[in-house]
Amino acid sequence: MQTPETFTREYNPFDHYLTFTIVFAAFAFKLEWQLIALAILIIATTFSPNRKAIYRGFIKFVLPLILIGFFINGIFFTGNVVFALGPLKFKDAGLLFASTVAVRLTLIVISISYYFSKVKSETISEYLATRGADRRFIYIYLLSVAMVHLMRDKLQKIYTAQSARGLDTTKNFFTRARYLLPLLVPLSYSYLAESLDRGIALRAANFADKKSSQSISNKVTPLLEIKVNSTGLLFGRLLFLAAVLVGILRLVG
Amino acid sequence: MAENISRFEREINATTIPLIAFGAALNIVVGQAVQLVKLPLYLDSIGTILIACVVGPVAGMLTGAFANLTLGFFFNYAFIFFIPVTLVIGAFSGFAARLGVFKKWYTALPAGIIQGLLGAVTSAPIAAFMFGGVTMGGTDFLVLYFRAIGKSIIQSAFMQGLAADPVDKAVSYLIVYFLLTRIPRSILLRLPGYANT
Repeated sequence: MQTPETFTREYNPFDHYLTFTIVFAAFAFKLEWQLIALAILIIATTFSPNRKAIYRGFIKFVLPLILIGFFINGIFFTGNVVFALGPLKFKDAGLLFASTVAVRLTLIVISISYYFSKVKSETISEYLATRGADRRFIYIYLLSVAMVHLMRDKLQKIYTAQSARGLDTTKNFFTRARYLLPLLVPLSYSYLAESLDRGIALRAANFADKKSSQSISNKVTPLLEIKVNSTGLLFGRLLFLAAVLVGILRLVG
Repeated sequence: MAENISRFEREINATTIPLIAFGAALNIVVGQAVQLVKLPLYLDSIGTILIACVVGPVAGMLTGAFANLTLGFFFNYAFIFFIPVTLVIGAFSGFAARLGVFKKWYTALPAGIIQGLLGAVTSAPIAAFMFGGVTMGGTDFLVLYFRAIGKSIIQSAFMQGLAADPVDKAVSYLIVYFLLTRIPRSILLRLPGYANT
């Protein structure tokens, strides 16, 4: 049966092989090789249409972590003093350790965000399903992502209602801790009940019964048709293989 | 091994799959609730503990792993590296629930403290070697303090965990206990781990 074009997605496996390679390099390569990997990653990211979002996420979550890491490790490690800022003396061993952590984190974070900026959750899920991943896990992931947004909205409504009934966040710690219950009980109650009803529907549809030939998870109709880029797959595998070889050579050498 | 596989299949079925997704989402949303009432705690394992109690340890472990994956992809990448900690929390809570710790508040409280100690042991090496002891959490100043008094990175990360995690997990266990006492029995009766509540 022909799938409509709106339900067709192109998937380039080179993207996930690039991410695997960079994450592998972050752990297995020497610092100078990691810097080369970082340069390649920055070039790749610069040409990405989502580069602003990637760098914004990096600056928001990772850069403060790196700066605090340099500060704490630079001061408290023992070793030769490299420079001083007033009474604070920064040591070479601490700065080297902080540099290693910083490069590793930068590689991992930028490569993962590069991948997720290029591919949507649904496409990854459907691709993994075509590669034989368990549909139960894919369903859990997609459902939890969908539930987060619904539950956040519901929590905000419950909070507004409870505030109208006298919930006061200026009181002491124990009173505020007690206020969590009027927020979480209605939220948990409604979504537990809804989840149990979903469970009945899935059971009726024989969703997770792997033994049954009637099982939906065995012969599900895909939501999307995934077109895999075979050139990307080949180059991605070669790239990852090269990285593994470099890692092995480092171990042997 | 055969028993493990059957336990996995028993806990991960059509009934429990939406419950696991709910638990993962609850872990994330509780963070917002904590901000709304301005509490200086994380409480980011409530969904994991709840599902481990009402379904089982394997479901609890999966709940924690999926919550951290989702948090990592959409909010803060650091959470992905703490998945091993969530596995420990899910497994311990599930087995503790089978011992009946969630039936009384005075058993839930010490179990939460033990859980916090286990969490600190698991998270310290990750925080030390992956992040150099800094995780951008509210308790980073403790790492700074322990480093200032001459402790190593791993010791500082571990002591920071010891100072923060037992309180956080004890409160989480108490909240799960109170949640279970306030959710109507008609709903609890439909849960696979009803006997643990």
